Amino acid sequence: MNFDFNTLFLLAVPSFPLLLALTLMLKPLSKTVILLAPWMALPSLLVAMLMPIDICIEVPWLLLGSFVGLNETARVFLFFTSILWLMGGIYALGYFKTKDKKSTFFIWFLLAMGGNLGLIIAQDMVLFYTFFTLMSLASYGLVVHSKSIEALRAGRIYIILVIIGEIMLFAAFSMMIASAGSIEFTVIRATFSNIEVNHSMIALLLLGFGIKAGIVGVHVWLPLAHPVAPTPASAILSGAMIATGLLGLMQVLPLGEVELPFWGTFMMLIGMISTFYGVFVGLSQNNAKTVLAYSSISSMGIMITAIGLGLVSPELWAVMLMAILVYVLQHGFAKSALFLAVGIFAKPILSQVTRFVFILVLIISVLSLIGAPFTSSFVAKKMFDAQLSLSTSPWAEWVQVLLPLSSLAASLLLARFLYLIWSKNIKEYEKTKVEQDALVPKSMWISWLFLVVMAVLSPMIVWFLGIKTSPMVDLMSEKALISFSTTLGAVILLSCIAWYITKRYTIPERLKIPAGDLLIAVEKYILPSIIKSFAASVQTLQNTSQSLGSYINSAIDSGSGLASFYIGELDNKLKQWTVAIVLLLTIMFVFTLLAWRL
Amino acid sequence: MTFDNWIPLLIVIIPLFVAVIIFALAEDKTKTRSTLNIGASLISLVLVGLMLWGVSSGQNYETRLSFLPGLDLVLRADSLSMLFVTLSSALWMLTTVYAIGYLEGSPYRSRFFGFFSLCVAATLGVALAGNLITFLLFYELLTLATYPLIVHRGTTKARRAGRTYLMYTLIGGAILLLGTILLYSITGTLEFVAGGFLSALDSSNHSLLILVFVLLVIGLGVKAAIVPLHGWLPKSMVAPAPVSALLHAVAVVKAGAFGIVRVIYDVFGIEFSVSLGLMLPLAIIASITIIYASTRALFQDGLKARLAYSTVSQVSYIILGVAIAGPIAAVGGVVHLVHQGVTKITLFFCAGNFAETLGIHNISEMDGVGRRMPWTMAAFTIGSLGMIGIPPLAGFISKWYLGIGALEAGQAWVLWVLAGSSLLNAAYFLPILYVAWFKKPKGDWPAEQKLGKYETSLLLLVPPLITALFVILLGLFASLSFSALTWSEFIISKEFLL
Repeated sequence: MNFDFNTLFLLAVPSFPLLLALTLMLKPLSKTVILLAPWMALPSLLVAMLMPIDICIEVPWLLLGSFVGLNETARVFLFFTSILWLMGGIYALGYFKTKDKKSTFFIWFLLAMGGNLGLIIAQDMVLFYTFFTLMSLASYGLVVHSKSIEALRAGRIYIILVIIGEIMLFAAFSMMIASAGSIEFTVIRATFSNIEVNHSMIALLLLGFGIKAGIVGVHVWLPLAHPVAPTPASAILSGAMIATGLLGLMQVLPLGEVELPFWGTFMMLIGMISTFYGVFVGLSQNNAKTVLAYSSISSMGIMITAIGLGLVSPELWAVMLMAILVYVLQHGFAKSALFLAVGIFAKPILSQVTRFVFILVLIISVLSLIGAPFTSSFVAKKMFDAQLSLSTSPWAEWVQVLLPLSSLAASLLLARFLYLIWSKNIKEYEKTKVEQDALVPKSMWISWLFLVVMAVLSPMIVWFLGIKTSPMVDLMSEKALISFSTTLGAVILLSCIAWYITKRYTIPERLKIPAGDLLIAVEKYILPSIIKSFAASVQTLQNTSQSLGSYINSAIDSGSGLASFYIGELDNKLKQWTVAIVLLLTIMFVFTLLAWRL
Repeated sequence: MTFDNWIPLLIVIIPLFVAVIIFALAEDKTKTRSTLNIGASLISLVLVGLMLWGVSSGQNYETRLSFLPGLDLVLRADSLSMLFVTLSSALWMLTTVYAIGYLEGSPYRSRFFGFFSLCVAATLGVALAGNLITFLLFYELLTLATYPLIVHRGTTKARRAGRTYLMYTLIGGAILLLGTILLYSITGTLEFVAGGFLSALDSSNHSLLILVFVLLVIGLGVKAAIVPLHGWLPKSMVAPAPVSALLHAVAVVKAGAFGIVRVIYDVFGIEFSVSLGLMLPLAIIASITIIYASTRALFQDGLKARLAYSTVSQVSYIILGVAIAGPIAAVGGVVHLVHQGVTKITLFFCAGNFAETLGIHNISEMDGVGRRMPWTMAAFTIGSLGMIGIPPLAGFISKWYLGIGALEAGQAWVLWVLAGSSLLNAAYFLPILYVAWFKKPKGDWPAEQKLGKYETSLLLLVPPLITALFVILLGLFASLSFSALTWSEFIISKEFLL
């Protein structure tokens, strides 16, 4: 066996959290173990920062023979994912009041962490699938943590979609492996050029990973589950886990190698639809976390569009990949920071100075998400825009028109978020004014600030991680600045109008879209009829089989009345010692006789 | 004859001897009985280990005794039989420990353990049988030895179940005998040969051979619980938990499935079976069984009833894997002999623990049981996830090979069967996990008793934990040598003459 330290380091990435999860299961209330929990993401952060990239090592003893490795994509994902888990964990230390709750939370947290970090370093399908499943199933525990009715409902819908997604991926992966003859990602991507495109396979992949990434249509679990989870878990769900759907697609699709015009165009369109759909439904929400969940759907839509462009025009993929990595990193930090802010602003903040500082920080993180100049989401969008004009696809022009509009829409959504979180905080403040200080725990605001700093510094992180972006000078051109200020101006104007309208008129109840949108229709109208018809058909099946069974039984009974009498006798006889022993001795005798004759 | 040639016979004889001694023991000699049982199973394990080593390095172990003119009683250890022998003797050991704990203080234990050992002897005989007639002999002995175990409780319900069991299996046995005789009249030999021994026959015999195949598969299908021959299995879950565990995981159901594998590989030969056009219908029947039984399982409230239907469904994975007739799917099917066994025995052990400790028999009573019995429930969770085929557990490995194997053999439709089955499995296992872990107990347990200082007595707790560990290890380290998967690949490389 070829063993070196790189294998050890890579395997340490998922092993640390998983081993601590086991320890926590055995010693559920141990204070040290709980305090250690967030730091289990540290080894993987170190791996992401220090390990040389472009390695792929075979681990022959694991599962069906596995491959672990690190390439540029994996490195970026590992970097921001481990920081999010680390900060989410630190935040959670202060978030939960009782030790009991903390302990159960961290068991699921560590299991999901192990899955999420593990799937990033996995370079073959079996290992990837294993970690992906682990992450998805363990997140169930995070979603239902509060055990409230909404949480349990969200959890049920979540788990149903997880299982369906798993099965779709299983089918798609089987098809890929059967045609490639290998489980290694590099080999699988390479086989696309030799074989005819299997359309059902790609459809299954898109659905399977789309559930995780919240592509419109299969996104229904997301606005329900992300908000009901405890805040640190929501932050990670929306910042890191959602991106694994994208990572999965990038690992298995032959991006930059083979042209798949149909599916590329399809992804560009569905991505754009997700982007705007997320905003429109999100605007009508009254819960700050739900608004953020819809905003994540919207942001993922942009990245799905970007992957689609890579499928339509493979020659553009090299740059598009960089744009996606920059965007996904930025989105992870900024979105998680916003989620963490919800938990902080839910507490009454008493000191005026703190309030002012917190609001300022909040606005900075919002700006970094919507693509203000000097932020990396701005860089990513510009890169995307530049590639769109190079593409020959007729749809690229449309996307180019829609892209700035999507920024505007996303900004509106976040303005809605700011409004909600602010008004809630005021209410909270007024309610508890007379009571004594309820300070925000230190671990909560430290981890939040850290993420905001990461979001702001992400252009530098991008440089540190060695992602090749277009030079900043280009991006800071006059034209870019003007376009941004117009966007910002438009957002402020529109928000004011919206604020005025909502103050003046109340929105009629029937125009409000409940969280989960499409799902509500399915739950209310389609599902009952399906269940009814299924139950009816099962009933018929059962009746038939029962009558068949009783028919067979009666046939046997009547046909063999005599036999059953003897068997009844035998039944009694066998219970007697003598008979049993005689029977046994006979058998023994036969055997000895045979042995002797030999 | 050297010692090597006696090992297969010894392996069958040891439990037989144990049975006889136990029958003669007084009821209250618990210690002697337990020592004898465990000691014997340990010796068997050592012998099996010895043979396993030998077979993997190409050695032959064969005991041949003359039986009828022209027909010998042959016990032979080849790669396929070793898979089954290892599974049986390992699980025999664990089930014995479990049964000692389970039946502590209950009446008729001598009778129980006697027939229990007899049942194991028969299973080992089925596994090691080197020709069809030896197989048949032990197969019938198995029927008779299991009957007293099923009716052990002596209640009316148990007796009725026992009668149904005998009806089904005796008729099945008769059909099997008929098929065997017919086959013998055509060929004059019944010796199992890797790759089959019928392909050389004149093509005028082919229609007769199809009849033989149908007879054999129906005869074996009764025990393997292929729909619509499965009626006895859900009924016979009235048996005590260790019996159900052994019945579902190794002894009866597996003997049927193993027999079908034997007939296809070593009597007909896989290529010949395909050329007779027998494999597609078999695959379809297996698929119907898989989906039908899973759908039925969905609507059972009785925990053991749900597990029983799940067995009906899962055992047909084995038959499906073989019937797809490609080497990769075959590996998936054969390895499922072991994977399903280990997983299902875990589930039945756990069901027994719930019944014995808390008096829980129905899923509707399981609310919050995870808090009261976390270790048992943890083992149950691993078993359930393994059945659904969640990686990295054992069941996943089987499903993975079946899926890829089906595509490789050009039978993509099987993928939908597997997908549907996984979905149904999730639909009937996940709600159990949900109520057990996430709900609060409804109140007092139906019939709680304090067993030992842990959640239940250690004799009941340790066996499911060990098997659950195996469910994980068999999946996680599937590619190591001597894993069930590697061994199955070894078997298939011989059967497909690769």
